[in-house]
Amino acid sequence: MTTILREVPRDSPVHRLWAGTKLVAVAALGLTLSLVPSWAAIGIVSGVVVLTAALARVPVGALPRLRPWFWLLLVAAGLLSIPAGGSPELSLGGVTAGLGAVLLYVRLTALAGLLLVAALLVGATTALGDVAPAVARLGAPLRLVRAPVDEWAVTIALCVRAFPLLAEDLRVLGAARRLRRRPGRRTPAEVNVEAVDLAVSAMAVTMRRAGELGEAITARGGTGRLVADAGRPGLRDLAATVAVAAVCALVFVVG
Amino acid sequence: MTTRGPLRPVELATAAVMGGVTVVLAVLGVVVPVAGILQLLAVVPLGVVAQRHRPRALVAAAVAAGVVGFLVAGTAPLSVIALAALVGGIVGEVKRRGRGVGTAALAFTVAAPAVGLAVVGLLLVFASLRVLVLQTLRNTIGGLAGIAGQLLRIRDARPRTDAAVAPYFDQWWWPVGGSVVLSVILTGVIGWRALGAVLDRLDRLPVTDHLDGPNNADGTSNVLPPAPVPVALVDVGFRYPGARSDALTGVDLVLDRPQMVAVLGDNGSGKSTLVRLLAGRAPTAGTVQRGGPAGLGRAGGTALVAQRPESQVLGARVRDDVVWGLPAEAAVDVEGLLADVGLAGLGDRATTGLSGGQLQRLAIAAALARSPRLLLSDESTAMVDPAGREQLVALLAALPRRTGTTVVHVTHRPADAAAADRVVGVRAGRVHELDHAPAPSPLPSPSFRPRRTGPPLLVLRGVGHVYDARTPWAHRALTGVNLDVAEGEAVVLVGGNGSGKSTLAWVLGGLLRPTEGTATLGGRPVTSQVGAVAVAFQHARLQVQRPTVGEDVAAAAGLSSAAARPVAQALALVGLDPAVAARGTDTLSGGQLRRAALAGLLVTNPRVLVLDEPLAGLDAPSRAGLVDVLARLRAEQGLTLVIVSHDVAEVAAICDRTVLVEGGRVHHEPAAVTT
Repeated sequence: MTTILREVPRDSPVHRLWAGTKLVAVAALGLTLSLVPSWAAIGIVSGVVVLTAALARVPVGALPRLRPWFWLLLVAAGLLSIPAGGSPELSLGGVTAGLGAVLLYVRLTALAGLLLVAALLVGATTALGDVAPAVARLGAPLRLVRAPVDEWAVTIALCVRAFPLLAEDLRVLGAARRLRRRPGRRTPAEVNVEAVDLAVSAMAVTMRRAGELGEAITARGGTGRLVADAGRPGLRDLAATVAVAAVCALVFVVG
Repeated sequence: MTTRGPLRPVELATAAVMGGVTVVLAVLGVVVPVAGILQLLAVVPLGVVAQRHRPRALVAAAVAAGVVGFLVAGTAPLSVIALAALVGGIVGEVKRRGRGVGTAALAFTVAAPAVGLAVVGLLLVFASLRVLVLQTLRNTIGGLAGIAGQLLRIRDARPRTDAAVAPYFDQWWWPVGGSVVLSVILTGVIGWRALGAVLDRLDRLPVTDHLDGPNNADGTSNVLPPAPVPVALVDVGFRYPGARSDALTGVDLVLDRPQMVAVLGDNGSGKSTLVRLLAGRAPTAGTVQRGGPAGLGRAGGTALVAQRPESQVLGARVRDDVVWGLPAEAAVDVEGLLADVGLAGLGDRATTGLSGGQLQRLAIAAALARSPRLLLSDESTAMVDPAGREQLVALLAALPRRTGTTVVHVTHRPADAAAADRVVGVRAGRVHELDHAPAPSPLPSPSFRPRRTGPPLLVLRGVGHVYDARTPWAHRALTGVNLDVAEGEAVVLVGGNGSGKSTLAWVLGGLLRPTEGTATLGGRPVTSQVGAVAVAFQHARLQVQRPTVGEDVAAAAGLSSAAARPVAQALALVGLDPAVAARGTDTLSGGQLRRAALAGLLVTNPRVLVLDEPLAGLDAPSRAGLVDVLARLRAEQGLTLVIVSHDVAEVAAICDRTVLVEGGRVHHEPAAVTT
């Protein structure tokens, strides 16, 4: 979990974009892809994502690493589609196999992967402290219906702040359990007791963190500013928004 | 507690933290297919928010989880978070109102079909995506049927299955809507049972914001200009709600000019209560006379720096933290303040990368941004290494002359008081003036005979460790460490914050596989025999997991009864009273908690015991008691000990040698510390 929600420290045009612009861009591209999940759309958006990553100089190593069995499972699930056949057909030495179903599966998987990578790219190019103020600004229209947008922004800021603390607490909690694990099989009842124990200790740890955070907020006299200087959208953001809108339009046109 | 209006600090904090846990569970559930069960568990944290606080807090938690979840893994976890918010919200709200299973069933009867309808509606909008997903699902079902047919020798299994399922895919809204309804109900049933079990146990664990009392929350104190000093406490007493005795009695104390006042006292003496009274909490007896409200956190009011460095930082970047919570119009010279506390040029650094001492100085900068007249430091030096502590005390001592701030520094270290203008002692709820800082208590000298040590047991060869290797965040913690710990030996690993000594403790315990070199216990890798080396973590709280100490030690030993003999033996070994063993783990003091964690480790008969900062944050009597326990373990059990600490003086007396850890490397020192 440690490499998630961490900015890749670089100075690039993508990093300098306002956080809200990046959030909106990813949401727009995701929405477009969900409405038009064609190969052409996946191709265009992949191009945009790769270009952005290159522009932001985010290396491939920033992607989270998944276990080998995840990939095995992914491939195995794809192989299950082979018998369904469908055009186009591939002939190899007298054996003919329809690839239509497999291509469908690959398309769905590529779509899911692309959406994930696009979201990760925002996290990798944005200082997390900038997210909450951006959400407060983006959500400003909701104030008209008396939604407590600022309260939500504070919660987001605290959530982002508490994330590494919680990760560390849970890491220690996990290690404490590993130290105690005894060899041998356990009965379902024992597993159940252990699961409740684990959930309760995880919740207890989290609630203590919450108590400490609450006291820290009280000690500051309540909530107010979240950052020293909140960024605001500029010309660069306008250009990026226009570019993203153009890409979305292109996707709809190409289909 | 108010039931209307904006969220209180503790509600905000609970919503944020529980939202964070929800994100972790939801994302793990998305990325790791078999961890689907984790998605069910995501109901628990949001259910806790709903059960303890207003629906408004649940909404904030769900929104925060949604935004952060989107940043972590895109739209995929959003449906999990939404479902968890719905189910957790219903279950928690029903439990909060004290209603039974009938009310919950009624709520789900309404909610489940509504969610089903909403999902069908969404799929009508995203038609292409729906076709893609359903067709892929249909192909996979066909493929599975084909494989099953091959195995069971059923002819035409795939086409026949496909024909059988075809109507369901043609009229997808019924099966899709129906399975959504079913899954909401199923999640509801599981959530009801799981949450019930968890909430019953959590009931004993109140989260109280000791600072956010009614006196701080009422309207008048926010209108009047704050005037925390001069202040006079006249015959003041304080008793916590539900407590049987006073935490403070007959306190007379006057703070009338800018100076540094050191308040000395052991744990439980009432010194934290004194801080809360000075911070504005109303006493239960006597009077507190000041010119206006204490104004905690307000400009010109009272500022507070607490014990745990990492939990009072609220901003993501250093300069954000300085202004966090200030009114939008307040003008603050952030760089100037950072320079004042010795953090010049670090404004853009992430707060997560700072050492304990740096974090505490940052907390002081944030306090100074409010130009406080009174600065309360509640054990702010307790968790900091000696170098950081000295800087911190010097900074506090300079403030009265520099900014005219009255500083009250609460500590259990007599050495901290040397820099103070005035020293006040607190003992058993009473406060008395001391003429000068008392001499530090003499180092314990347990009767300890050096033992003959055996052959090397725990051996590190060329150990190095890089966290997040092969990523842009790669960070080296250890380099080329060679270390031999012989059977029956006791070694202290000394180093400051961030020296890599905690990483070393994890490697020694086999909890972390080093990226370079080997760590072996008796010739075999430690990682293959986790548990043979017991590790006592600094946060003992995380290691004691059952409701009572007795049950916890029994669980560690794999015993069903807390009355079993090994449990009593382990408790006796760490010097815990059997009466304490029956008590809830939440009621224990820091020292008792450390001993309880130790008992849970010793009952498994480890070959080596590694302790990470065993004395940090403890007062003098608890420290001496724990050192005694360790000395006895060595002398009577012949246990091999490795103590990782930045405080060497007290433990060195019971150890054979000291090893210095610095910048991720170890330096062996021929230390003659045997007494």
